[in-house]
Amino acid sequence: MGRKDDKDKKIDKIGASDATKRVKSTEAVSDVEKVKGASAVSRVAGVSGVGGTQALGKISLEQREKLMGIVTEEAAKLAAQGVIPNSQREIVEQAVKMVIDATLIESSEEKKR
Amino acid sequence: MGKPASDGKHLSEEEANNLVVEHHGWTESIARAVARAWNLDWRLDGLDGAAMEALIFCSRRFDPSRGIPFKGYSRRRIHEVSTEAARKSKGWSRSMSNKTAAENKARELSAELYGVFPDLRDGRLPVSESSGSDDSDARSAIRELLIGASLVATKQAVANGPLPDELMDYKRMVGVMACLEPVHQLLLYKVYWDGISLRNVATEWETDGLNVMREHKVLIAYLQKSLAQGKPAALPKVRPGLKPLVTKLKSSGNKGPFTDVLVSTA
Repeated sequence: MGRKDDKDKKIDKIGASDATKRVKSTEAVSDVEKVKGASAVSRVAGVSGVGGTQALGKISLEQREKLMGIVTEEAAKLAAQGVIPNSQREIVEQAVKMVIDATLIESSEEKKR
Repeated sequence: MGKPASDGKHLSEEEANNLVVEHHGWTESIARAVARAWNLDWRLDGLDGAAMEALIFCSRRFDPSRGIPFKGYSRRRIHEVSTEAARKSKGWSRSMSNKTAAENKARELSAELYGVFPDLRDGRLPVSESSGSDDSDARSAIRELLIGASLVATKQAVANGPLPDELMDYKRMVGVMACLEPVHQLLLYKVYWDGISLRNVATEWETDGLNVMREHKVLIAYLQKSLAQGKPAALPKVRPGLKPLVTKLKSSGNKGPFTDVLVSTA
């Protein structure tokens, strides 16, 4: 059986290889299309909350009363918890109110070019 | 518009003058805000002149090619000059003598807070990341300001010799800070004792500003929790961005400035 198989696998003749065909020349690159301008963002929704701030943490004079109220509330909470010593509470609360107040300007002034 | 810019970067004199005219009212409102907060007269105490000088200075140095709007570029400088003028004014020392000791301390403390939270000069609360709600961001930033002010007040009192009834409060606060990792102690010390802003600490440590800001927020929360419960809370982990500094401090045997204070006063 093995002998028969060997006979079947005999190579008869090596055929001639095909001739190499011509390499096609490359086609010219067509014009690169111009980069189109991005369309404008139609509208960015305003941020809600403390008077609708535009940038992170941005505050204006119109929010003064609300901000001062938050300072009073938070100072009271922190003092009650013992985070701010009672001996410091008045000074600390007043200092934070001053530092915030000194940064508040009218939002109309901010918007003007 | 005016003549073309002389060096291609800065504005021509005419363009700079136009900026001054356009931003005159806005500059005055910054000076008025500083005067209002500290109960001064913005004209009599010379805040108007100082603010205008800063505006002119900024208009001459403004480089529009950097893409920063003029207001964003100049506001901090104008505010800084206005507060400096306020502190040097006659009104400051006059009202200092008329006011109560607590009010005087509050004023000095507020002036020092600008060093710790310079974003305030830009008209912004110290909010590094939005939670999605402006109200809770404002509340959290104000809490941070209050605890920060308390730390600065502690530093001032320790430096000036605290009153006997205040001594226990300050010792408690320093004790809570001394429990922290040396790198966290150093962060608090640099900000509240040395008066270096968080951004400048980040620059000094060659790390991203957000790394330091986020870590600071975590430390404030730790202080709040520890002081409220009367014992140190679970220690915050050091974020990966600050790990190289931890190694450096450990190799130099640094145990943290507040630990050193406690050891030296024990």
